[in-house]
Amino acid sequence: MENRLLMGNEAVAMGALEAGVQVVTGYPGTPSTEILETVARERNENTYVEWSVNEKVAMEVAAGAAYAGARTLVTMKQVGLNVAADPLMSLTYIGVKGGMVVAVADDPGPHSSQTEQDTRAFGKFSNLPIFDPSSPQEAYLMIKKAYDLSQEMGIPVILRLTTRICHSCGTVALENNLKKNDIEGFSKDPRWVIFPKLAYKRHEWLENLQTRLSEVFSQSPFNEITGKGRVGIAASGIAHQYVADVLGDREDVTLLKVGTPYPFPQRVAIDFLTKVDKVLVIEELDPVIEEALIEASYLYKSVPIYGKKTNHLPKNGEYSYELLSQVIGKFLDNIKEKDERVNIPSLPVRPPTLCAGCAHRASFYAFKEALKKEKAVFSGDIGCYTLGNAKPLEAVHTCLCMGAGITIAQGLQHVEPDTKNVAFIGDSTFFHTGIPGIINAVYNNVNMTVVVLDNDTTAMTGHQPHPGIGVTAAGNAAPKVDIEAVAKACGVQYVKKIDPYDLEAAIKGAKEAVAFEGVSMVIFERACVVKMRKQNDYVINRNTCNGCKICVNRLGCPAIYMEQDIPTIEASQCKGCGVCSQICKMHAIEEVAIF
Amino acid sequence: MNIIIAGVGGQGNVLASRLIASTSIMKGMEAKTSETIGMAQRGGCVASHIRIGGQYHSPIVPEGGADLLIGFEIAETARNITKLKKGGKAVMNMGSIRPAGGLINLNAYDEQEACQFIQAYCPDIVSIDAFAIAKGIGNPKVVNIAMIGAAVAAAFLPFTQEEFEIVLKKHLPEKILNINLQAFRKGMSEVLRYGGALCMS
Repeated sequence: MENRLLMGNEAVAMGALEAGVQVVTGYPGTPSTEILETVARERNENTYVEWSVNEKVAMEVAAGAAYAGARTLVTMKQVGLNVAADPLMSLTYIGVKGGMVVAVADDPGPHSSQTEQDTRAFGKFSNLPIFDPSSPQEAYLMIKKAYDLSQEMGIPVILRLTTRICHSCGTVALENNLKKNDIEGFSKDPRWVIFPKLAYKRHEWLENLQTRLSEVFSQSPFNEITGKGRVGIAASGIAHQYVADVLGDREDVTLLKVGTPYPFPQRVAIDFLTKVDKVLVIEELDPVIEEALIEASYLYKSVPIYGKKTNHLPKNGEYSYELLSQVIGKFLDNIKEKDERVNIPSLPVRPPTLCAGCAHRASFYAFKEALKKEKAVFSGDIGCYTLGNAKPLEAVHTCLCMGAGITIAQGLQHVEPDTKNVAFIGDSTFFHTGIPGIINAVYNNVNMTVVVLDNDTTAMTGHQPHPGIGVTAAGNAAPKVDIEAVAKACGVQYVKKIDPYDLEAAIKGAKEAVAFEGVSMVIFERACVVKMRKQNDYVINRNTCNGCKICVNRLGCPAIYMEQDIPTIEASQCKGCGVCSQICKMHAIEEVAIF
Repeated sequence: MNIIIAGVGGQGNVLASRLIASTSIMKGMEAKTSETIGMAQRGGCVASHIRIGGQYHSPIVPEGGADLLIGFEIAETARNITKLKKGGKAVMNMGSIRPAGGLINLNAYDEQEACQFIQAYCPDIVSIDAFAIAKGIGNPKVVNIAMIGAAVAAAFLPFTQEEFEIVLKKHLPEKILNINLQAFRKGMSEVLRYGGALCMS
């Protein structure tokens, strides 16, 4: 036993490695990314790890390995599960031979996601059992159990995490007992080929399995009833930890902690309901436990259940100690907490912006300049460059989901053909789900421009490699998939690579691409500024600067600030990209050597 | 014990919180950490939470529940000072980080007023100029470790200089260990020079 401070994601990875995981796949997505990164760092030669091109691919690779009897792990954020939903829904019917865990990170808040969807609902939808840890320690223990359960039942198991579990650190007692699995290998059998007849049979098996799983979970130590008293609180995940902090030593409340929300541990529910006269359910996002308890109350013992459906708790957003302290105080003791907020003096805001020197700023600026006299819509995508929507660039007019910029642009173009439609997409997103949209545009003769913002990395999630980089998740060399060659093979007739730091070339290229009839593509190649070594500094000559503020008002680079009505460059922020010097009409922004 | 480290993305909050938690674990205590981040972004506000002791369940320090606030710059210290409980202590870096970009109206922020507010809210505060220390050492990234040095010297943390240095040596790569040790010790000596007293201008 060894006590270590581990992040929830690290704890998941360590648990999987100890459970003898042999194939680990995933696609980066906050807050799930560090699971796979930790596996890549801590694995031994028996564990294969890859960043897959997208979550559907990751799910299928992991499933294939599990068909052969390997223990596999696939990681993603909650919206990634939407991409992987197709294989997952069928895999539920087909099942697996080796243990397979699908680790999905939800993001109540949301902090860095397009939705607040609840993966526990996906468990119910797909009939897959779910573990829902409330701490890194529990995440570590749960994934080990999840492997045993998956292997025993022959279906994938979902480990559902949330931002606060993924990204908080806690003391984890590592058992360090590595399990070794002998792989039986793939055996040819009709069970691996899904047909309607097989699906019908397996559906029946799957439905029956739900009762069995509920029985298994009713005996799981992850579901626990503590305290006494005729008032009950049911809670899960991080919300349970807030509740435990609010209750402190108090023992007049019967607390049900739910660690396996689906299939709901029915016997635990009945046991809990017999102990109490009323229940408050505290869980972030969907009322999964609440609905299960309402059902149990209807079937076995009628107890009033309070929660989201009775407006005792919000249906969206993250919960907090402060919120739950108020709600519980009111529910248990009818105490209304006094609001003792102090007035803080006004402080500077620090809104998210593209980094100083980020090449995306130049790319957006170039297209804005090229199209300033035309009716144009810029469709964005998921990545750092979504921040191109912020002032003063305001160059992202739509953002929906991975790969949707290219396809939304096509829909817009069909309805308003007099508009210039430009779709911006990052290099990793291009490989993820960008390519089918490009083929669709070529095939259907759409007049549009695709701009690939190629910064040679998956920047937003912390610089993971992708198929265009030439290196794998394990750090091995790999063939580079060339974006230009892919686009040409897809039938794009106009493709041009440009360095966005060269604004003149960038604007010229933008004009040409937009004027081209059919699908055109500009690939803006420039490595992410975070990885760039600064070569030189820029300063604004206060004698030649006329204070027109074009640099501030059009670029919005965070390195440029106003000092007594004259823009000034903060040297510690400036990356020396020189883009601002190219738009200054007074030539007042001068390059200087770094001392 | 509940600790908040308030700063701006890129100042090394997360490393500082992990090192404090790891030192506590080394001493046989339980520790948890968590971050509240504006939007995971460079230059955004970051508050790291550290809870030392087995009695806590959630990794997040409740509002008004912190025993110690370590502020890596003035505005973020002011923003988080209400996380302190009555009688809580604070260590602050007497410097500020300009919010990014020329579009932001800086006039809305009065540094003097913020300092007065901090002082009134938390009289038990010590401060150092961690930016000057980092500049003297030649690496702007050691502000975080200098601040921990100040907190250790003021006896605000549940471990000694020797104990923290063991953890520094264990966790930091050889290449940057020395400058961090320098920063830590300089942060300590700066506080001791003022006798642990308030040194706000």
